[in-house]
Amino acid sequence: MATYKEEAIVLHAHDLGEADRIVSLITSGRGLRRAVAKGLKRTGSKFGARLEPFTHLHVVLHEGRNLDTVTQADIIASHAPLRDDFEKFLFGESMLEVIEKSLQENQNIPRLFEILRVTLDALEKGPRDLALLLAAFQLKVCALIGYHPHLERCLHCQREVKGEGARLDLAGGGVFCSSCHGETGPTVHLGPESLSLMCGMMGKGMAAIARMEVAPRISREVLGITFLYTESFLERQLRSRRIVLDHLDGKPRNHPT
Amino acid sequence: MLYTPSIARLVEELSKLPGIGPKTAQRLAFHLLKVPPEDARSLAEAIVEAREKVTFCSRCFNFAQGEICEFCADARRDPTLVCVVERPQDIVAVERTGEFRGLYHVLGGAISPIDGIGPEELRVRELLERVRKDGVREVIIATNPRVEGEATAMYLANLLKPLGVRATRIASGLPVGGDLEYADEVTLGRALKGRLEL
Repeated sequence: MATYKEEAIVLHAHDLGEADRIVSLITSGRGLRRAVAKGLKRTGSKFGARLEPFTHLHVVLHEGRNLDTVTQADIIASHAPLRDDFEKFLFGESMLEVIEKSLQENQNIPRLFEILRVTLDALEKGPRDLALLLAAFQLKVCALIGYHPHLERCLHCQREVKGEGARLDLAGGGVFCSSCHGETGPTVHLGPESLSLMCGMMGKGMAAIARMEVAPRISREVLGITFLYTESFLERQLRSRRIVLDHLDGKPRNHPT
Repeated sequence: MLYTPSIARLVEELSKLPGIGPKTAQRLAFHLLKVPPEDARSLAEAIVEAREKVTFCSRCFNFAQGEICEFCADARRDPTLVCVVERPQDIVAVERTGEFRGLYHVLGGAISPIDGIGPEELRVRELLERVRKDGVREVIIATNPRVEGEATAMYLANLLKPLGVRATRIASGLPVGGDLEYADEVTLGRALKGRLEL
């Protein structure tokens, strides 16, 4: 069993026994890895805050049969502002969940690491519209894992889709215009503004998307759609969906504002 | 069949406990068969009694034997000072310091969207009701100093401040007995930010 060095971002951590934790990491060269960090819960742990979610780091891992073991960790970027801002944390954790659920263990898609790194940097700097950044991130992750959404032309008649009545075929991975049918599964209605926004985002970098600003109603609609689209391809529910969308909708309503 | 039905059942039940695999369950089962019958009965009775009598305190959601827990029932404690923790075990850690004489509020976890835990899964509404009704002056947020605990603290502070109550966060920094050389940037940065005048 070898020891190896990687650049990684911590996605998730959960308890193992009394003082250990299992951390999920996306690495630049070996994809998704899970590793045991021994004694991480202890206040005197040598890792300190180095293995907290969002941290971009250099890590040394010892390969194991099922799980690796973290032996060293050095921070490249802690993304500390994401800990101090509740909204950034909320949308950031949802991004981490999308990445964790997009990959099988040891599966490597190098550009996924890069898109997460760039998006977390943009999130830390403070994008104009958090919902839009998350929606664009989800669409780009879907595209990178092989489910590029076909948004410009109707899947059936191949004509450019414009105006009212467009529907996104979640399983088919594209849109149908108002006059065509042939859906392979559930569809969601796509308003003209949302469709044009989604098309535009696919051609832009995350830094440019972070500077975009649209009506909150539109970014909320787009995010609701991209959550459904992502879940449809991952064939798994994203746990953060309800919490993020409730937050955007002003829930939980029983709390004073 | 490897065991008699009673031993098989005991092994199966023990292996449901956290951190107990089939081998450990088997070892524990054989140990229990060797101990005096009164010791085995005492263990069984302790489990049944705890399960039947221990409930949650209706005010702070700590474990209690009765309507309210021993801390909420103690008239010597300051009811205007509330320390918010994630789990009942954290109360034990705070109590060990001997520095806190107020009451507690157990949230039941920390906000973690990736685990599907949002504000609605926690006892946030109950905390806000307590603050409004019981004349609380200060809420000390003692959630774990992890990303999720920090985010929960920020969330609570945003809700508490409009109610006119002082919301404070436990300090974080270097552990006593630690070494600067081995401190990570986040912990050392916090220690510098929260430095004290000598």
